[in-house]
Amino acid sequence: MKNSAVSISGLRHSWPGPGEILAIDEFEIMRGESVFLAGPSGSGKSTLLGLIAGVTPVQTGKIEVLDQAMDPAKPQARDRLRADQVGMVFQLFNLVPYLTAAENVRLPLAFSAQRRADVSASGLAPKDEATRLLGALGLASNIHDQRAAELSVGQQQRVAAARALIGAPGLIVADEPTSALDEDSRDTFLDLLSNEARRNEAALLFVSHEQSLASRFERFVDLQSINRAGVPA
Amino acid sequence: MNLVLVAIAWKSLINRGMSAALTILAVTLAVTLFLSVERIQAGVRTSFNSTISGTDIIVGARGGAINLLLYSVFRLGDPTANVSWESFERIAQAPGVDWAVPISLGDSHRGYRVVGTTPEYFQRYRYGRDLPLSFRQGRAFERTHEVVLGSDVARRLDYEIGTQILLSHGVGAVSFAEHGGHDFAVIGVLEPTGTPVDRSVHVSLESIEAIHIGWDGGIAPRNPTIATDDDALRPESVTAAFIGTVSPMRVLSLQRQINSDPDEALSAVMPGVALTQLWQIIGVGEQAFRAVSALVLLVGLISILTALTSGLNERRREMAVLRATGARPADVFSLLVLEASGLAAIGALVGILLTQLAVAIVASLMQSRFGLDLHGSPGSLELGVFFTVTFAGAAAGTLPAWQAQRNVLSDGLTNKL
Repeated sequence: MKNSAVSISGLRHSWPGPGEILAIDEFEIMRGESVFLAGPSGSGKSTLLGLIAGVTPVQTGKIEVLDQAMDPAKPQARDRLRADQVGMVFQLFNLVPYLTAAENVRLPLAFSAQRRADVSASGLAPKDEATRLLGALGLASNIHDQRAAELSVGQQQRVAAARALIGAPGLIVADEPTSALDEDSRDTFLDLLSNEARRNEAALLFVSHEQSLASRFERFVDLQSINRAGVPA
Repeated sequence: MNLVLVAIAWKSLINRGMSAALTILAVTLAVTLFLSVERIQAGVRTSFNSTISGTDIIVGARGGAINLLLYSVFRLGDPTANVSWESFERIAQAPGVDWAVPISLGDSHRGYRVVGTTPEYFQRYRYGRDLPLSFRQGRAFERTHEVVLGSDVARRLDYEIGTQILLSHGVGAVSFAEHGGHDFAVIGVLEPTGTPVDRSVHVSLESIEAIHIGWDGGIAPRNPTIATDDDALRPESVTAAFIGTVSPMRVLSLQRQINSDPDEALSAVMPGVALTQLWQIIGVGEQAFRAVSALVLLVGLISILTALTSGLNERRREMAVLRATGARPADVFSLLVLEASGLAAIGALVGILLTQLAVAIVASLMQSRFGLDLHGSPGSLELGVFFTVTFAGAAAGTLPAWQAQRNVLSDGLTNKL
């Protein structure tokens, strides 16, 4: 099993109010694979992403990211694993509003020595790598030094994608990143994100309720098909 | 410490310009108040301790050192007895004595004490860092019925050279026993010194004798006589005397000699020692001032706490973003502590500069008007205040920081709002 970006086994998760929300026996994403995960709101998507990102500790079962366990007993180790290996894009409000686009992109480098090392191995200064990524995601250079709060939603999502990609983490998690975008910019955004993820050989876990986008991904997974929670036995 | 966090904290503060500026202002004002109080207190203490300098010994009738100091230098209270002229002359001629200036108290002018003395007083009296008295207008008295005013007296009563005044018997503000028939002419006005000299009315010893001819036990004479005969005006006694010695080595032996004078019960005190004793009594108020300004400083620091705590809820999103990009809860904690110490440090720095500026502006006025020496460059006090305020600010920041850390742990990655 040295080839998976995400590996889940025997996962059970409950919240104090709603009770059990996740029950996944086996789920795996291969390195470099792009997966579309579909599921309506309230189906446990956010919980699953929090568990994969190591922000929520695992209660029962096991989650590995790039072959390292998200150990519930070691919050600092989970923080480091996330900083090193997981790039995240959300639906909205991805950026620190008072930092510029380029500063937002460089943010993960502040928290991960591994991603810093990856950038310097490429021979580029962090500033130049941020510029390169923003350019690759179609943002003109006059935008790079604007404060995030001044950018349009579409521009913000691209900055967030560049930030997720910097330092080549092994896993990109995108949670409804396109639902605030119109159709044209959605297509552009999807192309740019999956191209850059592929170039980095990063696995892409794309979560959305818009199933029309699924055809652009290598694999389609319906969360309800792998999650047995709430299903009468 | 992650340098990027410092940069983020700095940009976060700049971003919240108005709120940050108001918080800094609160800290600045608190620090300015604290430092100003300290500076003024130091000035008052210095000025008090150098109310009289250059005088080695003060001689008066036997009594407590502080009482002697109070009536001879501060012109407060009354002497228990006088010093006979014979004793004064004996001391003035004792070996080791360089100079001796007698003073004679007991009269007043509209609440200001009259000091009968010799013209040498104006050369010998020193205050502050050995500063002599100097005349703003006019000159020292040379004969009877001439008066030299301290600067406050001239300013408050609006007197100038040539003004004719009457002296009163006794020291009350309202006296019914005037020395009628003895018009005094203002002949000189002194520069401000910040000492009780400013509130004194100076005349010659002979003038004191002249206005008391015919007085009997506090009852004014029916027909005041104007004597001019010098012999008739020789004083029988004085209230106290300021003594300068030829060498500091002689002070202690001279003091012992006067204290054990076989002919008259006298006290000799060293003004520096007595001033220190007196300050220990009245310096208690100093602590109260310091306590109040320290409380104001505390309020300034609490404003940091308020500003950061009130901003926390609207920053939950920002914190979740930082966490998603790899920030540990400890990083979020550090960020807020850094912001708090940044606010405190800037506030303290501006406060220190503001105090220096204010001192530079008002120092010469305070010197001339109140004799307060506020000059001085920032030193260990300012450095101490800077670090104390910065660390206290950081400590205050731990509360919102702890709250923010709890927020990021419970919020997880969910981007609410």
